[in-house]
Amino acid sequence: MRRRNLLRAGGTAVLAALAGCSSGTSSEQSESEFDDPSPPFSRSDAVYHQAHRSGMKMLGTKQIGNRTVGLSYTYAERFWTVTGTKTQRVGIGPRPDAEYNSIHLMASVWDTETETVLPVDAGLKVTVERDGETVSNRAMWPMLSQQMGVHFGDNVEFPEQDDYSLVVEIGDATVRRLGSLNNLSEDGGTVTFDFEFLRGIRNEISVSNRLEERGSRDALPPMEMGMQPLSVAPSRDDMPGRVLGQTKSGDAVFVLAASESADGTYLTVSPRTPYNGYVLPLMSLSVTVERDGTTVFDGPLTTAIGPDRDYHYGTTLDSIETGDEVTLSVDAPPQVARHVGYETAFLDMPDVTLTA
Amino acid sequence: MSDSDLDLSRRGYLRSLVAAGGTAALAACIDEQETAEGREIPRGDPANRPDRQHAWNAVLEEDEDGNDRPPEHRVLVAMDLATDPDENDSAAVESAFRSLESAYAYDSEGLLFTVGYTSSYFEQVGVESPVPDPAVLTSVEDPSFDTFDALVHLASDNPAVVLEAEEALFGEVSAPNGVEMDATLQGVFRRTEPRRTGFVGSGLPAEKADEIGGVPDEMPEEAPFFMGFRSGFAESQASEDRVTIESGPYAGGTTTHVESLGLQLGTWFEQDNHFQRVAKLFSPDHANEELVGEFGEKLETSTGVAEGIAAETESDARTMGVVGHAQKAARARDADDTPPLLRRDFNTIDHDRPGVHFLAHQRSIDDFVRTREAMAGEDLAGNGVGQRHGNGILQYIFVRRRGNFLVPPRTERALPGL
Repeated sequence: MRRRNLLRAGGTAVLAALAGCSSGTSSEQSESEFDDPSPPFSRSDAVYHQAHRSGMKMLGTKQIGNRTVGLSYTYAERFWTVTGTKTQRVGIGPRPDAEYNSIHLMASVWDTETETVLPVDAGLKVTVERDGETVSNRAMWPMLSQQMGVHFGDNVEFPEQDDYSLVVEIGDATVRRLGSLNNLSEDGGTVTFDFEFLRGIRNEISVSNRLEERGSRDALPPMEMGMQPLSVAPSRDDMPGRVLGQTKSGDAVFVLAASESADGTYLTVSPRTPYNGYVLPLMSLSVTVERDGTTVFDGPLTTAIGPDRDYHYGTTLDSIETGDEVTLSVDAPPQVARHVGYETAFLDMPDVTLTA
Repeated sequence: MSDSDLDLSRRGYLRSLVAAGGTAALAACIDEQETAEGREIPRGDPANRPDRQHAWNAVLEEDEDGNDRPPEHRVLVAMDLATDPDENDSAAVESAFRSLESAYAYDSEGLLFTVGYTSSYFEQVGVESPVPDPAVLTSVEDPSFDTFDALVHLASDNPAVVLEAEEALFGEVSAPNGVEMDATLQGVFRRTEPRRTGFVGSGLPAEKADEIGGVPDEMPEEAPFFMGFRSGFAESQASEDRVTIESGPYAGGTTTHVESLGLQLGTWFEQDNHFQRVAKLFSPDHANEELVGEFGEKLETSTGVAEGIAAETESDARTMGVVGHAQKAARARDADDTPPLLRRDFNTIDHDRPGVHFLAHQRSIDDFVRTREAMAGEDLAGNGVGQRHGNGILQYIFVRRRGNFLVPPRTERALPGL
């Protein structure tokens, strides 16, 4: 028997409710109203507008090599981790009082020159230190939220109000880099931010309800970030090359484009969230191209990033001609943790076909 | 308080004494044991010990499934040479080890131990090192290295034994288990940092977790390791033959690699569910087909990764978005599916933080490097999983230290190369 079960057996209603939220397949779970401000009605497997808007505090930015790291935080938040097509709801913390000394810490890394947000494939790690001693280590979750797009995040609890150092190890570049991003060094390096955890400062962060829009087929718009670029995919019109078309699967929008190069035709597949147009990372995609009933290409796509295409999936093939049938298969949906409003979308993603 | 609660808290106290070390802790430990059970510690005879220092399996008990049950309590004693050693020193060192072998039986109730030497040692005695300097093995680590000279790995089911043996080696106890030490390591070696301690066994991680806090309640009570599952299945362990050096001056010996890891158990237990933990520790197939059970009890003697699951690692990354740690590691097995590493790893709460001292024997450090690179799965990053994310358990483990050691055959264990 797990020790938590012992607790549950003798716990109060509040404990029982919290325990119930910390396990099980989240999308089929009943949740208590006070704990979950999300829509009380059943959700489709689509993006929906979140029920509140949170502000955030920027801890600052630091440059290292040709990268910039931005660190920010807000209140500890619920989110959902993803493994394959299953999700796991993550509460604010293990105890009813965990929120008291917690923040939701967010890190983002971008190419300083082009302001291209760099992939969340890298294993970014944050070490919380106090007086040179490690308090905790976190390999942050790659995450997607309506206000922040893709970022690294997690709820971090501090032992008490005090001065801390947040040491950010950026991780290596693992995806294929195009254009000027080839100049990025392999190793991201390490930067350190000073952080004084004060509940009074944290509690200045504003939160407002969005009761009118909550649950609608929409998303809260991106936050006005100023100093920090967001991971917005290029619009259809801004996509380099010839746009082959646009299609949807699992509520994600896929824009396909082809551009000629010395090696052949580079096929860009750019999945993004509806409404806000954030890139969708950590997917596995394959593509089949049929011409007059004959398969002329069948293979996986490689994750890549470039200053014009942003984060996308691509491959080089001999050619793509008008009239070709291009079939996209989602081998694995985006393995990115989801903030509220994204947890039911981008999981069940059937094959889609479009005609070039 | 029930009897079993009492027993648990007592065991926790004994383990905390091992972690503290020293003669005061030893005295407290012996007091506690005498009052509680008055159990006699069996004495031994050096003549009964085999030539391989690492030959422990023959005397280990077995669990209900037939897996070797590792000794519960461990100390890794780091030592530096205190002198420019000569043959007299070598005789004293051997005599000290033989005294321990007389004091304690050759089994888990007595004392099992190995002594190993680093490249730094061999450099000092002017001999080419048979083991390489420790190195960074993955792109997500920045470890410290064991640059001291020698390491004694002490192991016993009895916490008083590892404590007393350590103190006896350095002259703080003159007659361990009532047997006079003929010599000590004093004057030849001095103890240095880090002193590492640990424990392994069903129920111990949960109990230790309560002592330091910060370990989630979701950890199964019965789990022998902090990650919440059994480990060290017979089928995923190399035989002692497979890790034994076959030729050269150290034939009959082995090598040790110690990788000290910190664990992020909050994320592991509170933000992942059991399905995710099984997928990440074993394989997505294990998770989908519920092959493991709550803490690995269904696995008996085999993780089952050899049966085609290792070959599916790349396709699992692409189609499942996750690959298992055991699945990745199995890719480094020999052509006949023999794993190259004999794990003698254990849990730790050194510095009051949960971790693992991943101690493994292998014929050459190259075997460790190859296996560790397979575990790191850097070839998979960007192909369905990230550098850490979905890539086995890399999101939850942080490498702090590495060390490489030559463990000579017993006949050469006292200052080899002199």
